[in-house]
Amino acid sequence: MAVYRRTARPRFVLLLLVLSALTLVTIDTRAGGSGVIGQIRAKAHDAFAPVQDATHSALRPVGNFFTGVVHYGELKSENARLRDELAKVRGQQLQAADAQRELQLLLDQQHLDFVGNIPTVAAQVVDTSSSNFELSVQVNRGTSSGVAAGMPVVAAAGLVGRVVEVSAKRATVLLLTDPTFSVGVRLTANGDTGVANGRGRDNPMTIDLVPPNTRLNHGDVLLTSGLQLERFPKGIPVGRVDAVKQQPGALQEDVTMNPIVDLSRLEFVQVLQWSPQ
Amino acid sequence: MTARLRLGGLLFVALLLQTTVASDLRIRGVSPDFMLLLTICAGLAAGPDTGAVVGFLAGLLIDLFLHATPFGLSALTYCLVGYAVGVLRRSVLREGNLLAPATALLASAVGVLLFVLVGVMVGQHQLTSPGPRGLAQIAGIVAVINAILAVPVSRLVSWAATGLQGPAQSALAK
Repeated sequence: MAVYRRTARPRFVLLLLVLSALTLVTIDTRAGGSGVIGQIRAKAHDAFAPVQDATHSALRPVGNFFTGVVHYGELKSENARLRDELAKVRGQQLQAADAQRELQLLLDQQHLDFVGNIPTVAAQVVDTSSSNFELSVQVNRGTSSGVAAGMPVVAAAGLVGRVVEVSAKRATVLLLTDPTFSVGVRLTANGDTGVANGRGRDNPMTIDLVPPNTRLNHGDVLLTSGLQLERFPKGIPVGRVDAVKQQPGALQEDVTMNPIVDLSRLEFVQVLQWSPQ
Repeated sequence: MTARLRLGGLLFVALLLQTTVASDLRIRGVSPDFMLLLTICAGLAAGPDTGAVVGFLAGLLIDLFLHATPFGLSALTYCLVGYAVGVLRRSVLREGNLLAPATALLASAVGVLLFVLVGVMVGQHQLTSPGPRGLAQIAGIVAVINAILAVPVSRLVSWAATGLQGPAQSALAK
């Protein structure tokens, strides 16, 4: 009897937890990521954001500290006052250079031709997803800045992704290389279109529905098609053609494409306040 | 009650590390999974009951910050891993210096692959997009990182879980 009691309780707990988890999965799947669970996620992001910011801020000086230690080691012959002064000046220079670089990045994004008259919200990338199965970043703008779920996100070179979840102060941007991401692209000037799909980190995107004998060359820039009910406005650069293969008898060409934006070095982005017509 | 608070504190710290530092510690594009490691260590230290509960909570917390997979998927996977580790600890695994790292190594790899398997079963086919080699690489790197961190983390979790060990666990300890 004692043996039964020892083994039965954990099994009961496990059963309860598994059923609870399955219920949550079902609810969230049916709600399509929104609904009550979406609201809970948004609240959690807002509540956790200050702690995350503080942690990031805490780690940055640690890196600067180690840089400073190395730097001081090279100046053994100088006295303490000069070392302090030199460190301060160099610190200011580095800060100024960093500020100049960030300013240039922002200026580069002020006049994006492909954006046209669409109003934009500038945002800074503050975090990247730690999941090994999801490619997304968090930006420091949310509903309080006019950001809404579904809005396209671009950088100076072109398309970055789209907002999939938004709270008051933060928004999560699904990157175009995520396996769940797809976007319609215009292949050539004659109007042929295809659908570009993300294939995960370090993998080129694939383009489906490319008619046979479509003339595409390595390095061709593909733009969003902007067809009716598309999630993105027309004419945003998405990527460059990587490879084109035509299998005998195939109903479509095998085309792969690399994103035109370097998604590993995102710092500032523009959220387009645009929704499908 | 104190043990639960301590475990809650560890869950919070693990979540903080996972959502801030983990993405900067990528090896070949793969980031560590501190929540899975905590789950495994809880199963080792306090048995299947606590392992399943800690896994469930750890999964729920990290699910708050995932968007491409449904809420509850990590909770489902991690509670199964925590439970399985706890059961194996009671029935098969014996005390030794390699217990924590070896268990973390195997359970982490199984946990990553179980996440994909369960995800596919609930319709998340995009989880298989890395392909067999990519999945093996993700599972392998997560497993190795967790194995390296397993000794200090398991000691921390053992300390936090002191007082949660039931009669069966105590009997096993003898």
